[in-house]
Amino acid sequence: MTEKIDSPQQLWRTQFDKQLTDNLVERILKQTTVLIRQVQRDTPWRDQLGPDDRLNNVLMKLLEGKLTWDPDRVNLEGFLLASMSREITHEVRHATRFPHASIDDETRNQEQLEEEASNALAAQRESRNEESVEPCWSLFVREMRTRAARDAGVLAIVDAYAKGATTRADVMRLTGMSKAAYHAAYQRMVRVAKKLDPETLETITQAIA
Amino acid sequence: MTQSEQDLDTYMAIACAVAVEEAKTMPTTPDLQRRAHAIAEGARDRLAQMRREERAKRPSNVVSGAIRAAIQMLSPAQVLARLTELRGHHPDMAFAHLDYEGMTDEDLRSALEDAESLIERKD
Repeated sequence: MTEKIDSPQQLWRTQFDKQLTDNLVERILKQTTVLIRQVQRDTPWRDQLGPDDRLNNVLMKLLEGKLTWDPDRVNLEGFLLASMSREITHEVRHATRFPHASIDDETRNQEQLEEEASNALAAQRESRNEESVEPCWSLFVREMRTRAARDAGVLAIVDAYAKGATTRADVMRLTGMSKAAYHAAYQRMVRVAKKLDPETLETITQAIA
Repeated sequence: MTQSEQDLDTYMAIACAVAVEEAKTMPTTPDLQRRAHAIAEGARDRLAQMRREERAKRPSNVVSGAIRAAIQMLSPAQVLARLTELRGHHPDMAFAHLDYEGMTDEDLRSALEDAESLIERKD
């Protein structure tokens, strides 16, 4: 198979060569470490891979063509973090539906595991019918909106995220914000989010109950 | 997409924003630098390997140098006639020797072999 100099594959590879530096990888490892810590803090999900393996996996998927990167839309740093975030999102969703129980756990016998599995399935059926418990992330987002109720900029970013925007360019296009307005609102949003730890959310839940 | 799924996507986008900002204040350690270097090197090596594999699959423009018997049997005039014919069919074809000046009979046969081989490969 021949590869033209200006083929999309060649173009992203050229950008990949330029952008993939040790410093970039270091930054992404830090970001992933914080992301994993935060999601573990806020949800029942537990990481099984670690930041290094996660980053390595998405890099290999990109090189093997299983992931598509458009360098015109997002830089490599943003693309790699978003790819890992998507995988974690999938795992969080799965972890909530199917809580982990290892069949290799020698301290628990087979009958016990089967009973737990059927209980989990029954609970799942019930929760589907009732949808009684609000997931922790829904509570988080609701509380974000409440706390930023008077901040149109923060609300606009949160709304854009809800509509599927992931990059700065996507958010700016959806909200019509200028670069400066976006940057200021983004910083305010991060400050509000940092204050929303599990204890705060627990207190809110109890207050509602 | 359910409301819960939409909220999860929103939550993850906010979590990423927080992670990016918090990472800026995280200290760098020699261990982190070593791990980062290993990951970057691994990806660069993989890309280089893929490029080598792709290059190996591409047809080469280097011809063997051996002149086929049918061309060996042609007289210099026949070789010149065939070369002229080929230049007529392929105007973009270029020869190192203008009007074949100074070329020996063997050079002429070699030039024809190269031209025929490249045309066959192109077809």
